[in-house]
Amino acid sequence: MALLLHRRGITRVRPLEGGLNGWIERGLPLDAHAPIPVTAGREA
Amino acid sequence: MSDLLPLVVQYGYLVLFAFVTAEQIGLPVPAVPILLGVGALSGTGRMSVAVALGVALLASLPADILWYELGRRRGGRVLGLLCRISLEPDTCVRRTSDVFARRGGAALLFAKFFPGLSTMAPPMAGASGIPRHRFLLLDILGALVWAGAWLALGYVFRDALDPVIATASRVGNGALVAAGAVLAAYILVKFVRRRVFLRKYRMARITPDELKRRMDAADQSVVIIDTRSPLDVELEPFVIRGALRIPSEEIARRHDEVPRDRDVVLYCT
Repeated sequence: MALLLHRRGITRVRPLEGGLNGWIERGLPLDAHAPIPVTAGREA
Repeated sequence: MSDLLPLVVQYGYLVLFAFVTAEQIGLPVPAVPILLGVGALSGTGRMSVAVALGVALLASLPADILWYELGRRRGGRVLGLLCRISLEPDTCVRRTSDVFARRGGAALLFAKFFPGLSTMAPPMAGASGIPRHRFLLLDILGALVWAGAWLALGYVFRDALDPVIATASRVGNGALVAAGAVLAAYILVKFVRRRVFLRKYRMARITPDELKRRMDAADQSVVIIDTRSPLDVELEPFVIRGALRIPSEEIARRHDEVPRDRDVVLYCT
């Protein structure tokens, strides 16, 4: 993904350490996201 | 060939069990050459394909069930843990979840043929809420198809493997030492490549605390992008405040939405 962006001229890319799980583990704030109607490859 | 065969026949199933178990746990140990060898020996009547299939199944099931249950209880966090020890921690969860989004539980039938996906598939099945009985059925079938395919290849092409086994038998126990050295070298190369990659990649990483500080300071020079797949978002239906949602498969089409003059913070599961 970072490489993909780099090729398109977006060079200041910084991966978030630990991803969303790392963010959640530290108890940092989140916004709710509307559920997406996909379940293991099938439309819900 | 006859010198080495008793040794391989005597320890063959044990070696097979150890390699399959190690591979399913996630260690960088290739079980396929062992399956090919056992298949070839089965062709000479020294080992049994049926027993080898049973051993491979017994070796893979406990690790798969353990990963499935962890995925079921801990969701995406287990996938994050597994991906932290992979070569591409920021993309491997997405790749696996993309396969599940496209194929559903049926991905378990062929997952073992793909390094990485083999270990990631059971926890993903657990995190996706695939019922236990369905997981067990698909996982058993997948293990039998995987082990059966490599055993059959070894069985059919046993004549091609004969010179290799014959050479090994002439070398005697030295063959085991040589095989161990090759395996150790393989693991070392994987380890070094991973360290080099991680060191290079970590240089640009941002910690959650640093990102939070910049968000609190209303720092306008940072933009956050959530690159998770729809299935990942379904498992964890939250986003970091203010993040743009651009799944990786859409980046080619939507890259114009990403500012060029800011720090772009990417996150996945």
